[in-house]
Amino acid sequence: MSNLLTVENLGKTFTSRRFLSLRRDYEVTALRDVSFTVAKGETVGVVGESGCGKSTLARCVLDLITPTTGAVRFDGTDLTTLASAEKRAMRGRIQMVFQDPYSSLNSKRSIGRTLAEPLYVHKGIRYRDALPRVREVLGEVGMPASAVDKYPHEFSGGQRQRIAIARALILEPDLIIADEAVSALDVSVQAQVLLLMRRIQQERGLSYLFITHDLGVLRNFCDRVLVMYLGRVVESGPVGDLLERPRHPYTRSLRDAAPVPDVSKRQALALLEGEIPSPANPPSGCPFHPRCPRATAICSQEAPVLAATQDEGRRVACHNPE
Amino acid sequence: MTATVTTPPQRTPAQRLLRLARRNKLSTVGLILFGLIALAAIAAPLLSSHDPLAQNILHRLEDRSADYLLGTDVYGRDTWARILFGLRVSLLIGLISTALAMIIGSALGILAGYRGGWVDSLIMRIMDMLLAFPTLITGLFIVAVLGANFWNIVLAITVTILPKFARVARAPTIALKEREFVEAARALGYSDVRIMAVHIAPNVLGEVIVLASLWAAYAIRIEAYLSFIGLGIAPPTPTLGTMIREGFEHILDSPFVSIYPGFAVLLVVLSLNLIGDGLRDAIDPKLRD
Repeated sequence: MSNLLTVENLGKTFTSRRFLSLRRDYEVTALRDVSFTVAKGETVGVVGESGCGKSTLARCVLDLITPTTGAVRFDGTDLTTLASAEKRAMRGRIQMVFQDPYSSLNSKRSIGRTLAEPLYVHKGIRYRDALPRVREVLGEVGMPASAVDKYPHEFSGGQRQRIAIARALILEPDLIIADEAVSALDVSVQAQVLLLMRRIQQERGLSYLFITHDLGVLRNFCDRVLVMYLGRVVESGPVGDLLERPRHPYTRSLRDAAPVPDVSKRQALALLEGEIPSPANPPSGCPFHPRCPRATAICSQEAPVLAATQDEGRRVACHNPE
Repeated sequence: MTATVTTPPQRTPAQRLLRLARRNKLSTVGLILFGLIALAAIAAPLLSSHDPLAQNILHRLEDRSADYLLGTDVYGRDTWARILFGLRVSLLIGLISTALAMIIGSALGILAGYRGGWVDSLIMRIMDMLLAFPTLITGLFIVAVLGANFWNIVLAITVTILPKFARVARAPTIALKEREFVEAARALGYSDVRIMAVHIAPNVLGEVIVLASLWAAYAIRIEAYLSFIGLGIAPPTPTLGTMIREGFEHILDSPFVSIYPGFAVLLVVLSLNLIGDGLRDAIDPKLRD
């Protein structure tokens, strides 16, 4: 399998400089040294607590924000070095589905206009000529063709999310980044949307970068997974194996914190103590050491690197892996 | 217990308008009033039998009569005809300058809010500078420097009220640019101009329109002020402000020469303010059902 997307040593530091301000400048490192690949037709999940850099990662890959360091290679081209016109042409090939279907559609535009707009901007196709294609894509996501003349407020959350998926699909992208795309939906609607996304993947062979905090969704939908903590990837590997036998203590605690529906199988929750540290003031050494049950002296001094393990496809960044 | 689902009844646009009118009686009055005034201004030659510029020294400062509906001014010109023709000029100046201020001001406000950084600082500091002067002073300055003619007065009024539109357009833009549909637009590779014009502007429009109806009334008042102190359209072209000033010289013996055009200003401003209030209520989601 060839790699569609290769992310190398991606880092993003937000700096806050205030002109003539008495406050000191401060820096927030949202991403540090993130590397991974997404193969054609593969679904890679990204999981982690809020504030761990998942959304920053998505926006860097889409080039909505410019990374500070590293490279994003898409189909052999480094996106970070492209001129803006070339970048814009590339945009059609990577698309995004957002978390909140209520704010990801412009409420003042009809569904038809929203879906036809990318065709106009990228291919110069006028609204009238774009309509057959718009109806076709609506059909693909299970929406009636009559939706063309309606407005977003006439639809439910799940329907809107389908429309948002249709918008992402209309330029026939190779990669769709789904940033918590089903988190805002009811569980039954979640399943529908996930099935839809999987069917589209099978039909078109596209890849997903699937950001979520829901381990159940992760387990069912993704092939591989990256576990992120404070802007770093702490563990990666095939989803089933990784959740079955987590090597990194953070992955374990994340898994164990997920509620178990069967009361008889429920164990005492080994909840993490403390809050996720502020990325503006990260701990020394391993970012997880203040909350880690397995921390030793070295953990507070030296940051572990993400290294391959003896298990197939598994990588972990821990001094004392399980 | 059975749950009852009530679907809102389908209404035709005409029914919706009627419903809105019934709930907002005052602004309906304003709308009708403004419509009548505008019609009267458009149909001015049909509604008056006298030439607004024709002087008749024998009939100067005459009282109301069947021939002169609202009497005559110091040169014996028909006040009714002059009010109708004066309304044309005053409304035209007021509406053109408000429209210009709305378009340019909102565009600047959206640009400042969307771009942020130094663009934002530059535009908004200039707007603050304009706002720092009392509005009438800015207008006076422009007209005094450039000379008083129709387009200079339009320019003066546009510049004085433009910063208000910039401010009102900027604030929602800052909120909107963080919304996901704007991010989606960027992800789809739309240009910044397209995002601002097609995706942000229509969402800002509601608030701007409310402001426009309120500031149109103000624009008409500024025109009257400028004319009153002699910096308006040159005589003999009638405008409401000019008429008030001309009548003011004889305010003690024949006050109605000033009072009638003054009353016309009052009606225009009142009707526009009523419309503006109604629009604001209609757009404020907290007051919607």
